[in-house]
Amino acid sequence: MDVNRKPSGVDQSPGLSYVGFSDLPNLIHRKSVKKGFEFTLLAVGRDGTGKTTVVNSIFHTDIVTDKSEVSLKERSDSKVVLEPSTVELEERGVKVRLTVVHTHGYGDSLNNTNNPDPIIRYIDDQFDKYFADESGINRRHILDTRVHCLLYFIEPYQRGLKPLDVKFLKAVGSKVNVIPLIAKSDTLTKQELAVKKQELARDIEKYDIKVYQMPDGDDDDAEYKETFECIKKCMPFAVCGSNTPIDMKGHRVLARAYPWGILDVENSDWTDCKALRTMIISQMSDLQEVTHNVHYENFRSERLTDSGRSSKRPVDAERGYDKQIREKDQELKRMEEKLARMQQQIQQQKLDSAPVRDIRDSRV
Amino acid sequence: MDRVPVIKHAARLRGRKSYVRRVHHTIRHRPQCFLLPSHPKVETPRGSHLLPFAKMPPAPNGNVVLPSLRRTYQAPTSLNGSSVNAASSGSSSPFTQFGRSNVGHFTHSGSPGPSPSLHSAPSSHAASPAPERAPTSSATLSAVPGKYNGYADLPNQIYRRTVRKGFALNLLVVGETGTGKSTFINSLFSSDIYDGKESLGISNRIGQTIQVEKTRVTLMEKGVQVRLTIVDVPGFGHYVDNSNTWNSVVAYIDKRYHEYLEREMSVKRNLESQLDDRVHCCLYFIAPNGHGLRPLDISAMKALGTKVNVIPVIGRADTLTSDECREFKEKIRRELKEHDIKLYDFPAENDPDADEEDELKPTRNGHSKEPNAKALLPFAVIGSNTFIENKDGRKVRGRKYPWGTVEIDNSDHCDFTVLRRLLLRIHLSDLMDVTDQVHYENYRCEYFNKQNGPNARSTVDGGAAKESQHHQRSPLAQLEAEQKDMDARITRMKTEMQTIFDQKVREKERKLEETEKDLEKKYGNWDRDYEASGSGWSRNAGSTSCKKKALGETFPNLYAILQDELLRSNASDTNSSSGSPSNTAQLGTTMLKKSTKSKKSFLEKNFL
Repeated sequence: MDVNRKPSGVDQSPGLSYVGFSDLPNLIHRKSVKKGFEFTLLAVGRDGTGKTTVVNSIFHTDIVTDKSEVSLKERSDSKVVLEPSTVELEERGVKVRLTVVHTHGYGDSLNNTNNPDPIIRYIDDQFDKYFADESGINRRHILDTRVHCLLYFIEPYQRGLKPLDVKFLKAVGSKVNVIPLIAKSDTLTKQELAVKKQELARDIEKYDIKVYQMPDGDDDDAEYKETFECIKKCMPFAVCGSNTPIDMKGHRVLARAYPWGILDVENSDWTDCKALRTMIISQMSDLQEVTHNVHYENFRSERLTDSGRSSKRPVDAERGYDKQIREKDQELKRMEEKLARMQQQIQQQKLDSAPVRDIRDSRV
Repeated sequence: MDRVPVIKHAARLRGRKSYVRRVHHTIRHRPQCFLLPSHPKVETPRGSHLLPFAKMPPAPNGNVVLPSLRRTYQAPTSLNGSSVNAASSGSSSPFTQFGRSNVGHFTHSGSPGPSPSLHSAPSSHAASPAPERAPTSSATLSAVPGKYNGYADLPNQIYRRTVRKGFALNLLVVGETGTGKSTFINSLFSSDIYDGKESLGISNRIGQTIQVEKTRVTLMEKGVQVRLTIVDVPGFGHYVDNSNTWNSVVAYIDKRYHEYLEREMSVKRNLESQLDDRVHCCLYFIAPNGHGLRPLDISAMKALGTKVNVIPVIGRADTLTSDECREFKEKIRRELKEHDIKLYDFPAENDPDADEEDELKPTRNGHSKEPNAKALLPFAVIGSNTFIENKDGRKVRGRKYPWGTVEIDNSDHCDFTVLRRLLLRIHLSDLMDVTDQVHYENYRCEYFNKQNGPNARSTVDGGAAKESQHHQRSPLAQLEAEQKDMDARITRMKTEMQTIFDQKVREKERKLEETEKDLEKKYGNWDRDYEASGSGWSRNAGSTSCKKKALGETFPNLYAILQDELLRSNASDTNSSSGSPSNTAQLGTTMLKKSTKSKKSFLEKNFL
């Protein structure tokens, strides 16, 4: 143990032996900076709830640029289309590979019973891919495309959750971290907003829907606790996005201009956009962890038990295979026995013929 | 006489002598009807029964009774002195007096033309209400004689009747939950029709299936009563599977039409006493998502557009900025056109009461001052029935946000005022008319077609069905059909006649054959016998004796008779000269003789 070695930025109290493993987080930190982050966000909601705008305003970049004009005919064919778009963001040397998956046509057709299916399938596909990569041989460069967070946009007009919402959220709550949002909150006055949030919270409890909960911070981190409380109060978030920068009081802010006033989207009194952004960005790693430890593991165990257990066909196949193996083993054994016997016979023959020579050999 | 010029004039006007008498008759009562070709247009403001005449120009010859109203009669006092007085002292009925006075007036002037004489009279007359006669009724009515008849009061009569009877307005409000329908209705009629719905919670109202709910209120404004029925569809678009949610709405509308149809077709009907129950207008609320119409909206509006007047409305429009609103409206208009959805057509505006409603400022959509209804479709509305203070300090109806206050009565903010004006103030009667004349008639036609199709022998609807069928077909098609009918009939008749003719011919032929057979039977034997006998009784000379013989054989009796008769005739010839043929036997013999003679001659002729 080299006492004289001075580790970086660590206070050394004289007289105590310093090991040096407290530097580990820094090392990890450096490694992760080098490696970069991967984050996938899924935005689900009816057309016109402002998904594109909100996502763009969370990250302050135009991630989803093409508002593909899906014609009505296609919409009515009840096809839910998922569009992933990837952006690489960098801030102070930290690279984030952000993927936003956009949905089109959700909840807009006449018969919406099949609408949740494509989305669930997409989530499962990502899990599958990761699972396959993990079980593979070369596990160095696994691309993590698993969905870490799902933003569910609820229309401000509806009171509580609609049957379609309930159905979807129940199916998806065990697979992904869900964050419900009240979209287009500029239709609601303050009282109405409070009422809506209450109704939503009540419905979430009533239908037993799993929603992402922020982890409780450490007791000593007061600042974190404060923000945590703030954010917790705002849930479910009421968001209103804007893509248009407007000059307001000298600053250029993202805002919406009405004939009766200008709505500053960043103002935390008016919308919860800031709170949402804070939560997502500050909890990014936590979201990833939960996805990896909880949802992915659930998926994995389900997948493995499924393949080993109940489905009849694979088991039969295995049984058949085992049978074949056993048969082949038996055959092998038989053949071995035969061989052994033959060998014995040969040896005996040899033995039978051998003593004649020995007597002759011994005479000489 | 004096009346002659009048009569002549009237006769010239009418050109009929028979009419003259009538004219003559009526002149007594209403001279002004036929004297003047025109009368000035009288403006009658609404309201009071007595006011209309206040606006009329003062009569130059004093207060004159209008025959239609039987008001106070104020006889022209200083008109032509004595004759008038004589007339006025006469009968109690004002009209005749007036008539006579006028006639008297004619006598005085003696001029042929009626109008100049009338006009000349006023000049001599002081146009003041007669001081010696106090008006018996409170209203002093003045009119130019011969210039006002009272027809102009007819709209007022209808107006009064409508006010007395009241009318019914049925609105259907359709749209997804939360698009602001109830609030809008409350603010439209400035009263809490839907109240406490917030507290109820919509989840309580929405059941397993779509239900149509009716709310009925009676509103009164300025003495006019309206029975307002709002039909709501809670749970529209709420479920996971929303196909055919509009079926229950369409069924409701059809049911109202059906009820009206049955009432109309019944034997004893009281159409006037019962108010109209049919849906006059449907407000379709579109959610302001900014992306266009949803498939549910398209299908529902398509289905409803053919049944009822549909007005598309964007609810909760305070979520859209001006630019977004404009784009959204354009998109919707495009899609409506693309899918060929029938909406209510606002008729061309002629605004009679431009008194209260101001000059319209340019609206949110940057349109010109006049609210061109079609350009503003679909109307972007905001609803609110609570009064708040806006930044000027005024109490307005609106919604208060931290970043500003929306006023619903401000046309810059939304199209609420425009929609209210068009819906309630201007086109209300047109909506009712279109419902009655177009949608209801369509339903009726469809209904009768359905009736006619499956059971063609329905007696009740048969005549009506045919009528409706005829109404439905275009004239050309009708003509063709008739032509075909005629042709068919003609060919049928032809074939019938042909068959009959054939039958008759065949019958005739048969009969002829029979007679031929008979004759052959009768006389054919003769030939055979003759031939059988071989000689005599043939045409040839040699065969006559054969014939005779043959005849003798066939008619042995005849031959015997002939012989006897010959003998007897020879014998009687001698007797006949002496005796008289009184004896019947002798008569008989003479007759027999004659007959035998004739027979003989016949036989000889034919067979010799």
